[in-house]
This record gives sequence, C-alpha cells and structure tokens, in this order.
Amino acid sequence: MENILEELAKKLSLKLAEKLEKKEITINEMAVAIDGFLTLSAKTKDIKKIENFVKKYD
Amino acid sequence: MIESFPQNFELPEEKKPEQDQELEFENLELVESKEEELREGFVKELKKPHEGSYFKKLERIGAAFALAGLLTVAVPETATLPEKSREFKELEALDHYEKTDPLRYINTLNFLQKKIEEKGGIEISPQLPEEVYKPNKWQIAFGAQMLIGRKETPYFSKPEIVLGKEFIQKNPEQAKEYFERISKTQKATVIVENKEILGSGVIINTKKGKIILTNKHIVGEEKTSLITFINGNKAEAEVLNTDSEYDVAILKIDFPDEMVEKILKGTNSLDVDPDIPLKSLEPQDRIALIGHPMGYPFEVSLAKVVNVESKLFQRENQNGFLSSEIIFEPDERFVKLAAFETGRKWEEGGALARKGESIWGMSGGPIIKLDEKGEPRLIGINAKRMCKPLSYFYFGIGVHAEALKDFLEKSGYPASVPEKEISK
Repeated sequence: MENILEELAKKLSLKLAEKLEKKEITINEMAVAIDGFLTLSAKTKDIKKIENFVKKYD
Repeated sequence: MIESFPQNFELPEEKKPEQDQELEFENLELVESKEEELREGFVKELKKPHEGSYFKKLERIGAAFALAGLLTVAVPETATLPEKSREFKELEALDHYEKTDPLRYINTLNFLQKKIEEKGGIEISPQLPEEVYKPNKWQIAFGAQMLIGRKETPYFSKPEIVLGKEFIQKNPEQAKEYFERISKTQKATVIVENKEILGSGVIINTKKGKIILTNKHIVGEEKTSLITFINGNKAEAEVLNTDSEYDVAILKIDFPDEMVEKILKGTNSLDVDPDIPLKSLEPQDRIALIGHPMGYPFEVSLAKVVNVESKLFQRENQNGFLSSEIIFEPDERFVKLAAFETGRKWEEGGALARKGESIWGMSGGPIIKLDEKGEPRLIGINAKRMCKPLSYFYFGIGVHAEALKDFLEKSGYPASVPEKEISK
C-alpha cells in the first residue's frame, strides 16, 4: 500500500509541477489537489479511488 | 475541498456594499509578482522528494498551506507550531488538573482569570502577540479544551473561514454583501445565560413589542435569564413562557423597545417569517446558522437542509412525531475544517465537535435563509445537535418558524406581520 501511495504521490507531484510551470493550474488549484490527495489517502484504503483522483491531473 | 460559494446565495448585483464594514478583508489577495515567485518555488519543490519520498513532500506542502490558513489538511504532526505561552499551556492542562489535582485546578483557574483581567485574554504564544484567547468562565471549564485540543487557534465568524478565501478572492464584492446582510441578523442575536448553561437567542418583533426567542433547554426552570446584546450591554430578561415539545422559550427584556432599537444600531429586529414554509425547503437548500458557540461573540455557519420529509431523523416524543423541524447538515467545507476532540466521553456530551456546526452555545440562535431579494429571513431557531447512528457525522435540528408562530400565539405574543424590506 505504502509503495503504491508513494508512486501515486510521485506521479501527482510531478504532474502538478508540470502544470504549474505551464500555468495550466493556479497555486490554489495545486493546493486543492494536494489536499484532496492527502485527505483521500488518510481516509480510504481503496487504492482505486486514489488512483482515479490522481488520474484527474493527467 | 475548497468549493465555490453555493449558487443559492447569489446576491443581486445592483446593491453595492457599504464602506463601513467591520469585517476584515485585507491581505486576501496575492500580489501578482509574489505569486510568480511562489509558483516557481512550488515547481522546484514538487520536482524533488523529501527524504526520498514524494508522499512526505506533499505532506509538507499540505501542512504549510494548512498553517497559512489556506487549507485544512489534517497533518498537524508535520507542521511547526508556534511556541506556546505559559498561560496557554496551563489552559491546555486544565482538564488534566480537574481530574487529578483539584487544588491545582482551582489555582490554575484563578491564575488564568488574573491573566484575562490583566490582558483581556490569554496570550497564546509570544510569537503571536495579536492572538489573545478570550475564554469566559464556561469556556475555561469546558470549551477551551475543545478548541485547543487539536492545537488550533480559536476563530469565529471570519469571512475567510465562513466563505473560504478562494471565494472571497474571486468574488470580493459578493462576499462583503453577503456578510452585510447576514450581519443584520447577527445584530439581533443575543447570548442567553443561566446559572448552568449558556446559549443564544434572537430578538423578534411581536404585536406586543420585542421579545427574545430561545430554547427551553437554555432557560430551564429559571424565571429570568441574563441577556448580552451585540454591543456588550447586559440585561435581565423575564421568562414569559416555555414549551418543552418544541424546545422553545420566550423572554421579555425589562427595558423599552426604543433602547433595544438603539442597541441594534438601527437594524430592525427580526420577524418570525412563516412565509418560507417548512415544506418549501428543499433538500440541499443552503441556510445560515447564527449563534454564540461557547459564548464567543458570533458564529455564522452555513448548512444545507436535508430531506425534510424523511422519517429517518424524526424523533418520537410523548406527542408523536414533531412536524416542524428543519433538519440540516453542516456545510461540507466546515466539516473539512476538522473535527476536534472534546476530551470527554460521549455520555458526558463530549467526543467530537466540528467547526461550523451548530455546536453548544448556538442553541436558540436564528436560522436564516436569504430570500429572493437576498434579505435574511428568520425561518427557525437552532435546537439540537445530533449524531447519525453508528457514525461520527453530526446533523442539526431547528424549530421551524411555523411552530414558533403557533407557540407565540398560544403565549399571547402573536408574531407581527413580517416587513419585507428591512430598513437600516
């Protein structure tokens, strides 16, 4: 579980960096994404849900 | 998740907000150049892990946002908290002293009381000289632990909390106007205090003058209650009538209506308004709850009506099902603002409380719905806070204006006809 979360965190982190750099998202939107990811990770063991959340930022 | 302001509360654009706002709206906008600098910083941060972990990196960024008040990420362990003052540490330890060392408990209460008298409150941290915590006797004994249990600084009624910084940034005019309208109701809200309990009340108009509506469970069996108005004035009020079925009570203030008007600074007291009938409330309708949580000056929290007709939450009492209840759930944004442990057991009325809910002290306060013109309408009063079975999710129950109107009539104080334009 931890490894998968770490992978997803890496994916999200790099995606957000890319989108932020290209100005495709605002700082607030980045904050919301991080908030959502951390909250979801803390609340659910359903990895599918977290994956789906991260996919939104593909 | 930060959400945009609910559509139901959109206000007409023609009315401009006034200049004499008492609320703080400064420092809410990022300076553009700063934003560019921040953006670059975050890009750099997001690209590198912390101690080999991207998850830890996201936690750190999340915690930084939470500290900045932008978000409410529940990762306080990773956050660096300000140093605490001695008195604040003592305040945190009160609950422990109460159980283990009664003498120290009393001495600490006296010490804190002295600090409150000297400084007007309890200094939270030497690094935060502006943050002075102002508990009253009730809070010292009980509420303080609730607020600080999760190492949070007490705050109430700040626009950025109620509406969210993002909404205010995007819609500053609308946010100001919303608060201006809600403040009309705040002015008519009072603290109702008794020997053993503290709650809220609302000044309303009746055909026999102004009276205060509150809950029966606030006035109890007392014949009088102490009222505190918005300007800090205090007055004794006589309990005129109570009704246990609907948990309502009315009180008469022992001075003339003109003085009440003066206290309300020209804002009319409210009319009980059954023009928004219970049945017309739709699930998901947004309402605002106003009151004095734990005796703090004011809290405005948004809630949404839940299935009014549903039997799920209806309670049975001696007289059968109550039929005039507004059942609401706290706005999700407030739920997200974290629950905090009260440090007490369920049976002692403790467990969890969430910011923005109708928490104790808000009982008897007004429930408002903005009408089509954006004017606040009193559609009920807060009554109870309950928990869904087998869950930690709270919901609230209010007494609807239809029941209040009946009760007022039975009590010989019929509600006056609502004025559709509330003058200033």
